[in-house]
Formats: sequence, structure tokens, C-alpha cells
Amino acid sequence: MVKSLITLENEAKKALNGAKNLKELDGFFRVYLGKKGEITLLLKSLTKLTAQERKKQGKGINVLKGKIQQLFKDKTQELKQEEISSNAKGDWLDISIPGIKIKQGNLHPLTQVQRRAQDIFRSMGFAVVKGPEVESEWYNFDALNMPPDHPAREMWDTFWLKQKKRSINTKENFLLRTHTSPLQVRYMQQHNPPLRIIAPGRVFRYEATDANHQINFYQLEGLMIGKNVSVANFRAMIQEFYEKFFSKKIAIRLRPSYFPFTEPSFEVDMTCLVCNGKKCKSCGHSGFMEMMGAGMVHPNVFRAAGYNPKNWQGFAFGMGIDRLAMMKYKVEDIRLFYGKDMRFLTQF
Amino acid sequence: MHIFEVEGKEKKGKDWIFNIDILPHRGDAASHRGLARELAALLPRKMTTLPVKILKKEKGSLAPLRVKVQSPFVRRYSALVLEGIQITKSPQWLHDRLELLGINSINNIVDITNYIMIELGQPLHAFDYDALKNHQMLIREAKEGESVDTLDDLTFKLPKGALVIEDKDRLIDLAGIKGGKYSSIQSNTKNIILQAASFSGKHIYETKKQLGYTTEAANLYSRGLDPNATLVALARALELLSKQGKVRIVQVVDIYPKKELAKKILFDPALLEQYLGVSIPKTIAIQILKRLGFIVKEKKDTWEIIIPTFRQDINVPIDIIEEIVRMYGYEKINPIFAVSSILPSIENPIARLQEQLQDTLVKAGFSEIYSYSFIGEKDLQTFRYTPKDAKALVELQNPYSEEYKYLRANLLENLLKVVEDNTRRYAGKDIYVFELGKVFENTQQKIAESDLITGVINLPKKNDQAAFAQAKGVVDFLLSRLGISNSWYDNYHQTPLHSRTSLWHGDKIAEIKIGQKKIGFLGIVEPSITSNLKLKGSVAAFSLDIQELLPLIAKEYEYRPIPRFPAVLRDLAVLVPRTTKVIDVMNIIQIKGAQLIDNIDLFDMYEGDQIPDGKKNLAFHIIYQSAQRTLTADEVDELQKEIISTLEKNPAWEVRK
Repeated sequence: MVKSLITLENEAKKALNGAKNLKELDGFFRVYLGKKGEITLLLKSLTKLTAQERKKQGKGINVLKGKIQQLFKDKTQELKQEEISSNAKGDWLDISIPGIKIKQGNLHPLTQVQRRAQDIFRSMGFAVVKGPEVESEWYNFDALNMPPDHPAREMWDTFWLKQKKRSINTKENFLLRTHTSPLQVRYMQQHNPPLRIIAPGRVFRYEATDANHQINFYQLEGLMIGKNVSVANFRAMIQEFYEKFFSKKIAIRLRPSYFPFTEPSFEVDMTCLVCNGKKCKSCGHSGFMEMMGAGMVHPNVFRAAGYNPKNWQGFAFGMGIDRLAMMKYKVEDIRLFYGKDMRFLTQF
Repeated sequence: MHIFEVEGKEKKGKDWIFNIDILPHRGDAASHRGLARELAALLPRKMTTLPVKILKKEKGSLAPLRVKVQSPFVRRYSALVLEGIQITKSPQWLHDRLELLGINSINNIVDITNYIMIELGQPLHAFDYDALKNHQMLIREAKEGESVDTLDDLTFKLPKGALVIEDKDRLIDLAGIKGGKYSSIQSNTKNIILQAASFSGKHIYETKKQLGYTTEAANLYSRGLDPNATLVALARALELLSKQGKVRIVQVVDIYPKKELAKKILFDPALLEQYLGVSIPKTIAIQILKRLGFIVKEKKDTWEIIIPTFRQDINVPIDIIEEIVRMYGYEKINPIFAVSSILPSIENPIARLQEQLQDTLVKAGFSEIYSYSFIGEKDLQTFRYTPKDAKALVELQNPYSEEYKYLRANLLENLLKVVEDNTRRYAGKDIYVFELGKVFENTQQKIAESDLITGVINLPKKNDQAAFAQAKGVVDFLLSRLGISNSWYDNYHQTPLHSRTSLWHGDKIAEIKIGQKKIGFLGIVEPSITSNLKLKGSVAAFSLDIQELLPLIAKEYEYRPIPRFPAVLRDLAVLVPRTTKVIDVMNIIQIKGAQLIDNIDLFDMYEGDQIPDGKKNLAFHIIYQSAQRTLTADEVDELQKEIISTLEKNPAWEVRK
């Protein structure tokens, strides 16, 4: 009698566990599962037996064969992976190699700031409105409670377009808008209150350029009109805006000011971002930074737009987008925004 | 926090100089006494009384001055004729005070007029009585073409309507703005006319604007002054003069056709809370108004408020609200969110399209530029403007400088200047820049304003075809992101859209069309312009009109199902004459292959070595694909053969096998 099946199984398992590489595994295969392998031969030897015996012994051998085949498969897989890993061992790469620069485009910083501001105002229910940069004298001044002889017009140094003759009708004289405020009237003429809008856009001033002044720059106008829209509402809304924009807690301060198209008019100050209100050089030791002008819409502006000032009231404001961008990115010279140097522009 | 801002303070000797920004509507506070009055109301304190001299006429030897007013813009004309004046140096205190305030001390008379103006905010002017011809003064509006010589040795051509004073035959004063040359105080002046007038602020403002010239007096008048303040100013001047020696008033002139009366405003106190969102106790509000010099009478539901005439800026009830709130303190208004219902904000389609365009170009590797809205005289040469082109430019009446004289008519020129500026910094590298903005053009009826988006691609090596193909790829990308499928490129015809022929290379430009609508341009920049700017390599550009594009973009963007059956790829190379258009070859392939061709991709276009002269080699990947079944290799080969034989029907074309 040959070996018992149990002995054969134990031997085979031992041999399989002992195999250290694929070559040894080949050897194992030949000894047990190959054409002349022990298990194969065992099966072949069954032909000499009677049908009954064959059935009895055959079952046990086939179970054993299946088991060993499975173990052989598993071991083969294991050794193959080991071999791939060990082959790769001597192989290395230099992790200090500089990353290859991705070719990427950039949105201008003023676009980014404008979008952020728009998003915050949209979340508070404001719609975005746009308008022309070449504006009539009437929309830029008269409609905003500044008839031609109004001395306050001097507060806006204006670029006028060359015309054959200045008309007495101020709707026929053209200039580059000095602020986005004409959109208050343009929008109110077309829409019924209540309303909340912002109007971002390019504006123009005839003034000497320096680190803080440009002949063209960006403003964002805001207007909220309703039955009871008050100064207190303005404070809440604008504080919310600045806190979201700068992602920090800030305080708002209003100071009396004068604009012909608002009454009362005020300047809006915000906690100095540099010192958080502790008073420093950047804020002139006041703890606050000047942010923008605002006020309650003047009845004459409502009249120009065709509203009855008895029925409606609300606030308007105009903030400088360039200034927001300068504060956000700590840019010290506004001229960089309109400059040609791509080393600046590709940083954003 | 309650009214004006201290812009700066500075110690000079024993004195402090405060630099205070007086708001433009507060003419009444633009003086030392005016500011003191404001402070007295705020603190509150009591104002001191100002020592003045009573204006008493004495007998003199001078012929009476005859004054005539001929303009409604003179609200009041007050003056004293003073006899026996001696022109001397000013007393030390007066001299020092003026110098501290940055005003040169001249003589005792001129200095007093300047000092009163600073102290009371009422401009004074002194004339030499004896310099007036025929001791007469006519205050009138200037006629066309008149001119006046002023005491600072300037001559002004006067705008019609400017207020002037005339003696018998000369203009002796530019009223409200500057004294005249012929009537000015001299060292030997003996008798003077001391004038304290009140002119219409708006009128003086108009005149100084037309003249482009201003003075402290003109600025004060422009703010709007109280006509009731003239005599006080004269009385105060006399007080200061009399301290220097005896002065004799021989005549008091006071022409005041329509006395300025205190205004009355009916005010509904409920407006306070309605407007401010804070409840201010009635008693406090009334107290504030009283401290400011207003008289308040409480009626049933309203207050009747009488406004002192020095407050020319208070006219309507909301002005009263401002007075109360600024004194009460803005800091006492607590933030309250508006309770009115929020309607969902309406989306602005133009703004949204602009954002999509910007984002897509950034994805394609472009950097966004913000350039000035202007171009200059020099640019007209650089960019080869013809006189006719220049005519279409919108010109400024008062440009900042020659460099910013016209409004830009396209975005390309300023972008090319950006490329020029960066070529050296980015030598050997591609430059991709774009700008989105407004451009302007004179058309027959009006000034046309358009929203454009323009991009420039600069390849460092000269290859116009490659640069063009890149730019075209970007335009394809832009339009496909907007869901536009029916765009095409037309040969350029001479009807530019926001552009000039001279900006583009005449043979390397295409119009971008959607259906039959022109929406923009694509091409190679005119070589002489790139040479003017010393740009290297090839410069391609594209420009789209956003307003034209807006109605054409797809509202919905639908996905295309992924093919269920495998694709088969075959390559095809054709040798064609240089001037053959790729699209002609592609069209033939597409038509022949019909439904079974999914895509034809030109992967190489080559002329040069190993290619016969005047020919170019086009190499395509053709992707065969059926939506219904798996194509067999035989079937595809058969189709490819048919395509080849169709292509070769053109004797100039040779398919390379």
C-alpha cells in the first residue's frame, strides 16, 4: 500500500509552504500535480480497481487534489506579488524634484473681489444691475439732486466728452460716469419698489493718479427701498457684509457727511483690520478705517425716478471695490491693478 | 462724530492749528465763529458776544458814492465809505494770526478784510474811493466779450452774466471773486469803500467754474451765505479799525431788495423713528434743535420749526432729521435687520454670461487684464489709425493727458500693449491674456457702447497657422461651453464689428458667426503693428460681442449618450496644394463617411522637408462609429477606400499610402 491520503496532504502542504520562489513552486507542481505527479499518478492508479473501489477511493483523492490546487494557486499569487515588489526595490526616484508648473489662467483680483461682494449681497436678496459708462449729465448729476448750478458737483471731478456744443438739455450732454449712483435712478425708473439692488462697475474721475487714486476704478452701488427701510437696517446689513467679506467680527461706525442725493448722509467706518480697533498707524490711531459713503435716499432722487417720496424710503451706498481688494490682498498701490505686469496679475 | 472731521492738528508756537474739513453745504460753519457756534450747540456752551462798533454816519467832505444794482443775483449790497484812512502795517497780533493761517500780511486794511472773512465767514472787499471815476458804482451782469483786470494782474475774458462792478467807464471789480486792478488799495490811499455783499452762491459758482479760477471769497459765496450777516461783518471791521486810530464813516450803503426771512418747516416727529429705526425721546430732539438755534413750536401732531437764516442748508423735513441724529449720535442706532419679505433676487443674464466667459478663458489658461478705458495720441500711430478710423473715436473734452485722450474702441490694442510689456519677462513662453470690458465708438446718431471679451495669444516662435488654430480652439471651447453648436467661421468681409481693418492681417482673419449672425472676429494681428510693438513670434487674437452673443446661448445643456458600440480608428494622410483649405478635405471625408464617421481630427499639418514645394501634408485620425452596431474591420476598410478614391478625384490631391 502507498502513503495514506492524510500523509500525502501533509507532505504536500509542507512542500508548498517551503517554496521560496516561483521556480521552487514549479518543482512542487511537478512532484504533486504534474503529469507524473504523485496525485496524478494516484488518480491514474484507480483504473486498476473495481468500479466500487474506484468510487470509494476516487472521491477522497479528488477532494485532496482540489484542496492542493487551490493552495497552489494562492501560493503562486503570493510569490508573484513578492517578486514584483522585490524587483522594484532597488528602483528610486528623487522626491526633491521640482513639481512641473501647471499652465493655468487667472481671474483678475478685482473680478474676484467683485464676485465675492456680489455673492454676499445676493445672499441677502440683492439683484445685480449693470449700466452704461458713458452717462448723460442728467443721470450723473441732475437726477441725483444736483442741477447744473449745484456747487456740490465739484466733489466729482468729471471727464466730459467732446461735443460740438453743450446743450441746455442736460440729457444731451455726455460724460464718463463719476459714480455708479446714476443706476439708482435708471433702475427705479424701470422697476417698482420694494427693491434691493447692487450695481458694480467702472467709474471715472479726473484726478491726479497716485497709490490711492486712479482715473478709472470700480465702485459698487447699493440701494434698498421699502416702506420702512431705515438707518438701523443699513447698519445691520452693512455690518453683515463686512463681517462676511473679511471673515471676522468687526464694528461699524457712522459719521455725518454730505452728499446731495442722500439725507441724512454719513461716512461708514469699520474696525481697523490691522490693529482690530486697538489704534495703530494704519488707521491714524483712530481704531477705524474709512470704508464708504452712504445715506438715506433724498426725496428729490425719488422724484427724478418717478416715485412718490411720501410712500417710499430707503438707503443707498457706494463702496470702492479697488479699496476692498487692496485691503484683502494687502496691495499698497492701486495702479498695480491696471498695470501691465503679469508677475503681479498671475498671483491671484 | 457729530459734524466735521479734524484732518490734522499742528502746534505752532503757543498756538494749535486745526485743519478741519467743513462739509460743502455748511457755509455757515466755514469760519471761526461759525465753528464755535456749532461747538457751543454740541457741548453745549454759551457763545461769547463779539465786540462790534455801531455803524454811525458822520459828516464828511467826500462826494456821496452812488451805488446802483442791476442784477437779481445781488441779494444784498452793504458798504461803508470811510474817510481819512491811513495805510500802515497791521498790528502785530493781526499780522501773526494771518501768517499762522498761511495768509500774507499786506496792510492794515486788506488784512482786516481777510481776518473778518476767516472770523465770520463773510467776504469783505476794500476799494480805493478816489480811484473810482465819478464816484459811482454799477453792479451788473457782464455782456458778451467784456474783460476785467484784477488786482493780481490777471485779465479775465468774462463769460456772459458774470457779476461785475463798473465805475463811470471801467470795470473795477469781478464781484464776489476778485477785486479789480484799478480800484485796489494803494500805500497812499486816503478814503475807502468797505464792501460786505451777498451774492447768489449758485451764480458765483457758475462764474468761477466758467473762468476756471477761484478764490477763498468765491468758495465761501458758492457755499451759500446768509445775507443778514453783512452789517455785522462791517461793524466788526470797524471795531478792529477803530483800535488803530480814528475812523470816520461818512456813508452807509445798504441795498437789500428782498429781505431774507427765517424759513418755517412743518415737521412730523414720527418721521424720526420711521427713518432712523431708533426711538429718540421728544424732549431730547427738541433740546438739540434749540441748541442749534432753531425755534420749535409743538403743535398737535407736528412741530413748527423756525430756521435761523444762517442755516441756508436746511430746507425740508429730512434735513431736520439729519440735524437731530448727528447731534444725538449715530452710535445710538442699533443694527436691526430689515423685516420686509425678501424676494428671490433676479439673475442678471449679462452678468452671468460675463462670468461664464471669464471662467472658461481662465480654464483655457488665460490671465485676465484690466486696462485703462483710454488710448492716446501715440497709439494712433502704433496701431495705424487712418484719419477715418480716428474720427470714429470718442474724444474727451478734458483728457487727463495725451496718453488718455480717447475712449478705447476695442480691447485688442491695450492687450497688445500688455503683451509688449511682458515679452521680455516671459521670453520664449506663450502669453495668453484676455480682457472683458466696454468699448466706445462714435456712430452717426450717438455714442455706441459695447461689451466685449477679447483674447490674445502670443507664441514665441513664428507660426501663424498654429497661433490661429490655437485661438480658434479657444473660441470653439468658449462657444461649446455655452451650448452653441451652430457656430462657424466665415471669410472676412469688409464690414468690421467693433474693429478696424488695419488692425488685422488682411489674409489671416475670419469672422465668427452663429447662424447668419456676426458675433466676433478671429485672426492674426497686422504684422506692421506687431513690429511696431516689437512683438516676437505669432500673435493671434479673438474678440466676441457679449450683447450679440447673449440671445444665442443655449439655455439648456444636454449630455450626449456614450456610444454603446466600439469605435474603429483609421489614419489618413493627404498631400494637397498649400492653399487648399483643410475644411474642404474634411467636408469630403465627412460627406462620404456620413453617419458612420463620429469625428475627424487633424493631427498634423506639415510643409517643408520631404514635402514637394507648394504642397502640404494633412494627417487625420478618422473615428468610425455606428450607433446601431459593431462595425467590422472589413466594412471600415471598404469605407476608407471609398473615401480615398473620392479624394483622389481631385487631381491635385494625393492620398499617401
